[in-house]
Amino acid sequence: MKKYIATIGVSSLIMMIVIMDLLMPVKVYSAFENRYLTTRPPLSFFSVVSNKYSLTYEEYVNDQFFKRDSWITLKAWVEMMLQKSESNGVYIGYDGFLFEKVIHQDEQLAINKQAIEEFLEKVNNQNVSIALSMSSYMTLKQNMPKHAPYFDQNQWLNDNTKNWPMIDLYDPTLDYSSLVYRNDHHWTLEGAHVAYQKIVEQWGEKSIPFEDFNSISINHFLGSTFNKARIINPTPDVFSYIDPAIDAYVFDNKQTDSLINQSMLHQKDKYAAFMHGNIGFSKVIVSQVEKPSKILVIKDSYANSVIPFLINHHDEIDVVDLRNYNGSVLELIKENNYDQVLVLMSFSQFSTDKSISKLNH
Amino acid sequence: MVFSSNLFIFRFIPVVFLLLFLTPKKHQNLVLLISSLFFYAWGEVRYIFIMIASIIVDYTMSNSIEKYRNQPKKTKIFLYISIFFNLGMLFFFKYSNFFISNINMLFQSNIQPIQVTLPLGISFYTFQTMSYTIDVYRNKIKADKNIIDFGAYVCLFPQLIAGPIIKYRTISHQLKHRMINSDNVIAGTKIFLLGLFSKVLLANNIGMLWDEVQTLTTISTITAWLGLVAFGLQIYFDFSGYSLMAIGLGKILGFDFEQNFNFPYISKSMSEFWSRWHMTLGAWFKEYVYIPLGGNRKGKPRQMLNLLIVWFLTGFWHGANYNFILWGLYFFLLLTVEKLFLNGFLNKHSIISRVYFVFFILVGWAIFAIDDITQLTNFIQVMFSYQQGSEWMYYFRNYGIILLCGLIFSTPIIKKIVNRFEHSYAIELLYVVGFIVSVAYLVDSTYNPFLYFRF
Repeated sequence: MKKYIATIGVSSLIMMIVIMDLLMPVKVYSAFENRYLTTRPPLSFFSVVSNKYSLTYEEYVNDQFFKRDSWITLKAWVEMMLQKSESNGVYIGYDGFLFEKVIHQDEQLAINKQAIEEFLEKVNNQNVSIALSMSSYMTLKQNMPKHAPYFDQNQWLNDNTKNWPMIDLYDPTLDYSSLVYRNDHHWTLEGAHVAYQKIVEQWGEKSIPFEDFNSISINHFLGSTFNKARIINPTPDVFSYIDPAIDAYVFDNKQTDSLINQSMLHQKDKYAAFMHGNIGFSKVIVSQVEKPSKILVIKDSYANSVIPFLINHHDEIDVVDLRNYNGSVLELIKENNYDQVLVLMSFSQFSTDKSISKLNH
Repeated sequence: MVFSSNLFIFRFIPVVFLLLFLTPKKHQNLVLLISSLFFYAWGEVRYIFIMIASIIVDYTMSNSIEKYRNQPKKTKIFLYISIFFNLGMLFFFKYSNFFISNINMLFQSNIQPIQVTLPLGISFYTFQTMSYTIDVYRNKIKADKNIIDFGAYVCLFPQLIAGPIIKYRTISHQLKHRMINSDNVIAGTKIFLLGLFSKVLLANNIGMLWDEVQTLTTISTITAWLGLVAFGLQIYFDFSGYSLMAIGLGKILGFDFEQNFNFPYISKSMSEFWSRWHMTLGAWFKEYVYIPLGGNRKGKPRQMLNLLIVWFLTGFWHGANYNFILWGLYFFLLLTVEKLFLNGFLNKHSIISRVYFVFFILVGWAIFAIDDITQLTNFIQVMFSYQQGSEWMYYFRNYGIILLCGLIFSTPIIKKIVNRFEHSYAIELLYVVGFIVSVAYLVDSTYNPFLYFRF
């Protein structure tokens, strides 16, 4: 009888899974993976001939697989036993830190470098400053898996931005373990505050210390890098934000009086609460500012947590996210007499974003 | 469709086995034919017509040869039509763009490359059908009068897309009368599972290392060699895994396919390697190219030429690119050197011969794996002039265990242990556990490449 165990075991497992697959209701969304799942594709002549049907059907079988979450967890266990210190393009560092894995320079980086240089020439460097935030793997190297290869962003910045009006956001004297998230690629509120300090000090203004802001915290934040990696035992972060008083925040023909989208704070992706996400063009209006000035911020999501600090220095902040903005930045600068133009984004976004060239449209 | 997918294991296989179970014996081949065509059409519907054309052409030609047996001129024409059709298809789909780009380079012309994707497994089944017609022509076998049986042979799904290359005469008897018995089902299931583990647990996990090494801008010498070890293990477990899955499925269905890999990495010379690696391809070239060219019967110089032709073709068969030709010729060179004077020495020194083998097989894999000649030269430079770096320590840590497993499994040690304790609870349960882990890797498959898209 013994010799039948493998065959009977495996075939009954297969049959059981097939039957459960047929019986279980289709799931549309996976909270575990934070994404929509593929459902059964509709059968049509066209979809079959174009091979779309077979492709989607295969995804459907995988996505709706019986107990999918448990299988994924099982794999994560095995990977842990194999001593893997990376998972799905994320480095699993020491002390619960997860890092984006970037091992080579993206082709887009050279293109974007040119776009920036062209832009600087076009606006004649007028009051423009550029701040690129390095990824957490650069600022918290001691927590990276030992000897893990990475693309050296600092090296690139040193070699390529000599003639740019750069604001150096990195301060080697600081301990970055509280300035970046363990489970998200962004900086923490404190990290954003450091960036804010560096920026306004470069402009010759006095920054307001972190303690003077009324920050609010929410426990158990598991962000983007956690969603991507498959790990068993994360160390959750504390998510903090400030919600300063403003006169108006105008975007997409809407107007609110808060820079924070309260509803997002209870979702998985809490960081998207800042500035109500990545909006193509938005405007922050504040009235009580000592020295009124008008500023344009060209940015990615990293800037979303910095802008709430900036409202004490500017009465009007125009915010452009090139990914979702189709107007002309050059026109915008021409029409508005900005006191400052700030390009603020993460290095990793800057090196991969295909919309940077929109600057020169 | 590929074997290492949930679609195959949890949809295709249960349905096909159920259909076979419900179908009376005399219609089993029809079920096999239809399900094989479905298997083939999945992913690329149009190519089902190529398959059907293949079946019809070779069926008609082989039966015509049979019919006009005593008119040599006519039989020769039918044979040529069949060969022309098979090679023509292979040439059109696989090699057109290679020749177009060469013509463009030579004559500065601007011929547009043709827009086709290579039909899955075309290199395998065109060789199978050719062997069939040639065998009929040589009167080694009788042409199959039943087009359904013949069709089932041509596109039998277990060996359709990645071999082994099965000659008609090996399974002609089983095609007509085969017995499905529990011993075969048990043995076949285990062989299939071993193949699945090879592909999903070993090849995929080890292969990620080589993939990553290729994307690095600068690598150290140790990483380069480590990457090649990973590639060598990946392609072995991937390829032999497919063959094992095919052999196992065949066995469950009542067919005995030939062994395709026999622990090639324990070889002590290249000649030994090629008697253990992709054995059905080597046998094919020997029977249908080398021997017809005269083999070793026409003197040394002619034998050398014959070997040169065979190894050129073997290289070119693996892909339409210069590096594959180079790879074939590389083996021609090594095999010639071995034949002329090295064999005696290698036979006497077992440690040196292993070092020799491992060194040259790894260099060979570099030529095989990197299809851009400039990149290949750069890579070889890194291999032989010491480049510092510490990233290899990271790779050792991340891939050390799995590489060690790969090395152990590429020797017969595990097989000996399994045979020793065959039918024990522990071994039986290990198969089940291995299956469960494989399914976990298939459900969350971030890396599951199909390496034979250009074969």
